Amino acid sequence: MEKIAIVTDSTADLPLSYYKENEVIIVPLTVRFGEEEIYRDWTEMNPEDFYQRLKTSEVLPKTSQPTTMEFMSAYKKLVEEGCSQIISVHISEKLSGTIGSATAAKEMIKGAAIEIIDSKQASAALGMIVDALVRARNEGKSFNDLANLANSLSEKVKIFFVLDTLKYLHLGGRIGKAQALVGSLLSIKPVLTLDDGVVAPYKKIRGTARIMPELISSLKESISGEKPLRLGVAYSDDKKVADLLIKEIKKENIEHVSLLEAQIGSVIGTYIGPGAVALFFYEEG
Amino acid sequence: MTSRLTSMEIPRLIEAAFANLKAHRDEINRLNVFPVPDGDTGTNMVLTMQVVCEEISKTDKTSISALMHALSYGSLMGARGNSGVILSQIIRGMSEVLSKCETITVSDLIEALENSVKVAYHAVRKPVEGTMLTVIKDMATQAKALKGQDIEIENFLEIVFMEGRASLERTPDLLPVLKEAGVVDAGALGLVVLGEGILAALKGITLEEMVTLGKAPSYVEEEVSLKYTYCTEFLLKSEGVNLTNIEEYLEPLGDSIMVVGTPQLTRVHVHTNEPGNVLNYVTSLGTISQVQINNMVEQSIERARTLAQAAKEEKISLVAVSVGEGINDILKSLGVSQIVNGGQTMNPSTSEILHAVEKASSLNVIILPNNKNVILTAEKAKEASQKNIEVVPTKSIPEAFAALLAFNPEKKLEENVEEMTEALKNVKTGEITRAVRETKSKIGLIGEGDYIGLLNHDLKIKASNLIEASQNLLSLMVSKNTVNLVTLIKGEGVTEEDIEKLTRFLKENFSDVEIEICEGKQLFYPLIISAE
Repeated sequence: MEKIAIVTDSTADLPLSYYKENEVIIVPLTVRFGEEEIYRDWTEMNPEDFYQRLKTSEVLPKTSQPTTMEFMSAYKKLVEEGCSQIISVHISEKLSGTIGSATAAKEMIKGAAIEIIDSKQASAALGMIVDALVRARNEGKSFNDLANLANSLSEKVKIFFVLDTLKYLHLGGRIGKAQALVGSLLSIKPVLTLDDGVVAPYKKIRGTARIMPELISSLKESISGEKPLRLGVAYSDDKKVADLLIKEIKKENIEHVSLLEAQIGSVIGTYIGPGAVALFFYEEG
Repeated sequence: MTSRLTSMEIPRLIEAAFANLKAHRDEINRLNVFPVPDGDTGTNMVLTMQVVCEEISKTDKTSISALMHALSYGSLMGARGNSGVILSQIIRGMSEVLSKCETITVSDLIEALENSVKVAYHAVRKPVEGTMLTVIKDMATQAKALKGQDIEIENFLEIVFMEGRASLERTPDLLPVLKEAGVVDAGALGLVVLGEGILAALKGITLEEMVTLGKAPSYVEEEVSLKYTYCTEFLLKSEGVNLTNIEEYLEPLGDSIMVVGTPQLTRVHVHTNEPGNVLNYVTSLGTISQVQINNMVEQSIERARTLAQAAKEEKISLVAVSVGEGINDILKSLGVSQIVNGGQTMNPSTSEILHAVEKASSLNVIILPNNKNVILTAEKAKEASQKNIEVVPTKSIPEAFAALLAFNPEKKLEENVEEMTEALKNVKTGEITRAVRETKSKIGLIGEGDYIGLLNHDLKIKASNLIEASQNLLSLMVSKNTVNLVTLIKGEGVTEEDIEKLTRFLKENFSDVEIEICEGKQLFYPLIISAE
């Protein structure tokens, strides 16, 4: 049977070893400090170094989507290896132009059916969709099945996240519907979400003590509790926060079939900054 | 005058386009609000064109086909950002056609533009109008209208790019996010300045000498010139006219005048109050086609009305009664648009609240009375107004803060009222003030000038000094486990030193509690305390 290729971008925030082990192609975005220092997300810049650099940097980093050329080479290589079906799933079109580059590249590739999918997600929530595609491919599902799965998960996956500061999101132009929270004279810790691929406030809370309980209650009110639950937790630089969240999930006896723990890479890190924590999930079926 | 372009001229034109783009980079960055407002469209387009120029410099200048390949390949290699990607597709579309030419003529350019529209629209997943896609399409349409005309290349391009400018100015009408921000599309401006760079080089003039239709590319609703009502545009065909004469004729009749093209085929654009006179004059010179007369005043009023109506119907305004300058600022930072001055000693009247409600921009209004005695007044205002008003019965500033945090502009009025009211349950209000005269009370005799503490407006504490009263009140409010955040709102009569003492007191006795201090600047109440 014909092998289906899965392509994603570096904002899926999966460790590099994952891509090798599971035969997933990663096309990296880039992060740059000033005009000179340019790094490829994950492949040339690991999260630890990035947050270290971010804390001491005088300039805010900027990010760039992969070029059309980079997508073309990735697709071309797959075609040359005899692959005729490619699922390419990427960061929300409302957050990055990555999908634009991929779509333009698709037009110039002959010899393979390429399905480009807007995950409407970012970071390991996208990674979670990639992982679901890998499992489906291993189960022998068809190209169409995989495309349908990716599209349905793009709607289904929910993410809630809390940032230490909205500064990075605001200055990076990704604040979305949370714009109104910038400039508040009370210190607010909003629980944010992605609404159709755009950052939006879900709840506004005050005091760090409320963060974990609110994340857990946001999860609880979003699930039916009757279907197999796949969970994920991600953090920017502070693993302790993620571990604490996992502890809370266990304490609350929230049943789940899998739990992914991920560190957020440099490109997404540019917009969320240090001290961020995210909880994402979907119910199967 | 040129009727054909040879390969040797192409590198110079591309360089000029690049130079003009670079000159406008910062301006383009500033306009960038769509699709992602990260202010780098100009930079991305420059980076894209830079690789194009590098490729061109490495290429055999005698072969159009080689140059076109370099153009297409370079833009693809260099494409950065959405705008870069679309630009590379526009270039690819043109190159596909032009690479087959030995020299380039007007009819080749018409075909090339047409093909680039096809390629660019096809390469974008969801083509959005009001972007560079629209501008290239409009230019191609204009180009096609010139098919079969005997026209020099620079005149042809002048007419086409003039339409490009006009199309650029229409982008806010097609893409609401641009209109909200009061800008034209950044990528579209990039495309237009690239074209104008080429045109300037062809005409042998400097960029400063270029006449462009829109001097200031950023579009601001309020600045629509209402001095002249009609935007008048047409194409004039004649035996031969003097372009300068037409300009001079139009000068006293209006502004934004553009007369471009050839003596035989001239495109004219003017904002005027006398379109009839303009048309009378030019029809005496030749025949006119593609006549467009738009009433700009009507358009602008209509646009403003549509915008205002949409905003009114959808949005919710927040009106709050406040008691201090600092509190005003905090309330505003939490989304309150209208503040009514009031408080314990000067309750606002129904008409004062009504006035604020009417001033609020939306049809839906939520009032936060922030005082027990004002709730009824707010209810009266609700009855008296035509707007959809709801009152969330906040009795204090801490309750107002809690209610405002629960507010979600995306949700409906009723839902918001429910959730805001619900949020009041989780907050306790403490107030420290001084007795104005001797009083007997349920907690004993209170002397004039004594400090008293109220918990949820109930008299609980009396003491001879501020610190003692505050500490006792805080102890009552902050029970372990249920309270994790205390906010001290500083009013008149409290010092930094007092605040330090109270902070230390809280840390020593309730180590798990977070403390936030804010400037309320309220009168009569040295401290308002929120515990949640």
